[in-house]
Amino acid sequence: MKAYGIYINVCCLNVADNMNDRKGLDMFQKMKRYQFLFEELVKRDFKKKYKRTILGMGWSILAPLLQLLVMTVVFTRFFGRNTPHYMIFIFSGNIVFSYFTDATNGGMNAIMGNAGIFTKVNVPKYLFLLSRNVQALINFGLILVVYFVFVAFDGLPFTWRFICLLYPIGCLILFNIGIGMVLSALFVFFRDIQYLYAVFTQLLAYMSAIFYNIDRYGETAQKLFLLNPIYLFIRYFRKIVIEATVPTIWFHLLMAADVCIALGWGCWMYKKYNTRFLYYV
Amino acid sequence: MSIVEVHDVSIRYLTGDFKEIGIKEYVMRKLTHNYRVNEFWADRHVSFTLEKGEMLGIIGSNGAGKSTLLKAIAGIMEPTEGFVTREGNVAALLELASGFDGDLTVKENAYLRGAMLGYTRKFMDETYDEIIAFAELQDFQDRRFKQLSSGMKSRLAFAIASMVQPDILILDEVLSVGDGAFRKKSEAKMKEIIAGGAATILVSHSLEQVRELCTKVLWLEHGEQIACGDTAILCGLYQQYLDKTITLDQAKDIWASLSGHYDWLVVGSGLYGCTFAREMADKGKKCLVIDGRPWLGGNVACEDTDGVTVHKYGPHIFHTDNEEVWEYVNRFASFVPYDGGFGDAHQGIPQGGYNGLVEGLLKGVPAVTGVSWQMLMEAFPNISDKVLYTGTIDGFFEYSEGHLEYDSLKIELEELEQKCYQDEAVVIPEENDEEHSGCTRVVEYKHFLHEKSPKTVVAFEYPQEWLPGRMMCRPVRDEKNMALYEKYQALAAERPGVIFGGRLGEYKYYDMDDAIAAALARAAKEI
Repeated sequence: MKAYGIYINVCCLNVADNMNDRKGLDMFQKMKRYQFLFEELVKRDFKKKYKRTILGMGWSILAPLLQLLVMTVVFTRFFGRNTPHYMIFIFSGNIVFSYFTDATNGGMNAIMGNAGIFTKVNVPKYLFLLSRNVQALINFGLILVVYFVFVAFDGLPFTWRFICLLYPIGCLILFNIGIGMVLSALFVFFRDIQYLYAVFTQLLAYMSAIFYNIDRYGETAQKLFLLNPIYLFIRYFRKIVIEATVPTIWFHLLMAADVCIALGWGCWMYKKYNTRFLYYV
Repeated sequence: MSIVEVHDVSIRYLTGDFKEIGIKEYVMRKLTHNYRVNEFWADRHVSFTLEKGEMLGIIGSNGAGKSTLLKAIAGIMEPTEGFVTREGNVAALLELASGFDGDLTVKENAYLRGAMLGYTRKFMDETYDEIIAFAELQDFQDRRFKQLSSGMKSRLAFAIASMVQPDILILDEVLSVGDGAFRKKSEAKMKEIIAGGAATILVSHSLEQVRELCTKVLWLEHGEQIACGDTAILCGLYQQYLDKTITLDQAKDIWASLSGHYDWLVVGSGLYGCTFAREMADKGKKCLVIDGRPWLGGNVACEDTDGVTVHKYGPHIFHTDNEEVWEYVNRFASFVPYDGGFGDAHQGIPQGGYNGLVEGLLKGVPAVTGVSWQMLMEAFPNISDKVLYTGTIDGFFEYSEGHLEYDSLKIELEELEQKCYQDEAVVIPEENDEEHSGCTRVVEYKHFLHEKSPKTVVAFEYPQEWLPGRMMCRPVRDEKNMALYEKYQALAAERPGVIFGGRLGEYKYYDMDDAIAAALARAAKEI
């Protein structure tokens, strides 16, 4: 009987929530209300991702490590000579980049993949996207642990500056959500997006200086790299972990601006097309 | 305040090129101005309110906009115009079996669905066993969902959704879930929820179900609200529309005419009722005629069968010595003379049958078929100041004193692939006629109006004992029945707003001309 009362409570909140929808009120308050659904969605996405695999989540660690191994073996000869701690250098790039692609690729299908749900039940659609992002974030967390183990093995000192890594990580989470929103909305309208995006991420991988050092480029070219948000995140990690320096305030602001643009764009897309998704699925 | 208010809601739906085309196509079509998005109104100006404990049935053909409207009420879609207000929590059961994940187990899906419906984890933990028991899936809890039959899926969906007492329950074709036994269980559960005070909205293609469950009905066609109101009347109109006996516009007119107020309500559209209505209308009184049967004219109604005008209730030959009546009927129809023997000054059948005569009498008078007196009184008890009741007087009082008796006969109609069956319209078989043994009369209708159809329709009449529900011909009027009739007359005297007239209302046989004469006299008296 008690649970019953609680349920009614929740539902009353839901109704109030419907009204708030129009006023565009607090996203976080809403999230609290949809906590159970959110948890179930995350669980579902996890189970689906690793269904019928023997290693399960082990793959999330093994795959990037294999990639790291190959890249280190292949590229050390060409790019590693003038780059100290080259393995950590590559690893820094890899974790950021794979988290980005993991989250955004997963996010792309968030709306389409859940069409069967939101056409029948009134739930906020961003929950689907956030659920995918949580999954990618957990993977990222796991690899991050391995990363720090490698850092320790490589003899790099753990300083107080490591605390600063929370900043790029937080930014990256928001950035991924923003891009995921844009992609998932676009994917509803144009299915080509998945192929275009595959090509785009591949190009992005080459342009993000994951395995090479940009010192050899001229000054202007080096500045151009700063326009690439992914490069900013990677650079931040390397600065803290390898060079043991905190980036400038301008560097922080530039990153924050990128996040604002991505998130703003994503929210705008959702706000504008939220009611139209229904027609396209 | 109403629990649900749908106020002038219009929903524009998009279809067309935008689905399933890629970016290249999109750009190409945009450039060549070939990009087309069709907007159509899935719902247009729909309004209704729903109170606690009420159940609204939404009826209409496929594509009427029912499901779209439900989505707007459930909050899944935003109305393009107008608004929906909801007081309380909504449980929407739309297309039950979909929205589950085939790769998850039954248990996982149950939790996910519960979460979607806004339940808490605690609530799910506590009711999970009950849900599984209700859905009868105890042995399948750890099966993957795609291994379930569609009936099992629907059962689970229903069980989860019906676990709570919502304020607003929305059902889209879900009462037909599972096998017979489960359907009973789910209907019982549904009734429990409704009895618990929920406002329910049901979309169903089963008119029976709507009739049985709903307290009111919303009728949509092509997104347009045809009518919203009384269940029995609207289901009746909708059935007539489905049977193609009335058009949509007629249905709308009928509904509009039922919403008016009248000086006289005439129950029954036989000659007596029609003549009375004509006279009242001519005197400037507002009249409404209703008939419980799906046609006008009562027992004089005709039907075209293969180009032959068939009288539904045996041959009706108009014959009279009354010049006034003869003149009167000739105002509305021209008569084809009949040469048989009644010995009256005027004998004939209206050209094209009696339907034309009835239409002429009712010209400009709103007439509604398929709506019985009981149905009308339930929906619009104050529709008129006075009532002329030409139905059975014992029926009016719900046979409280017993049934009045009538003579009856059985008519067997046969359509024959031959030009002619007999020389005369009406033939009474000789007693030794073995081909027609037991038959009291043989009627070949085409002779009445000299119709030239290559086929013919013949009616064979047999005597038949009368029982309630069988065809009523002459009132028996013996001592026993007259005593009964007097009892009903006494009851009728206590209903000053209602007058009883015609063969069934007065329990008295009228030839057609007599019926008209009596109606004229009655009308003159009532003016």
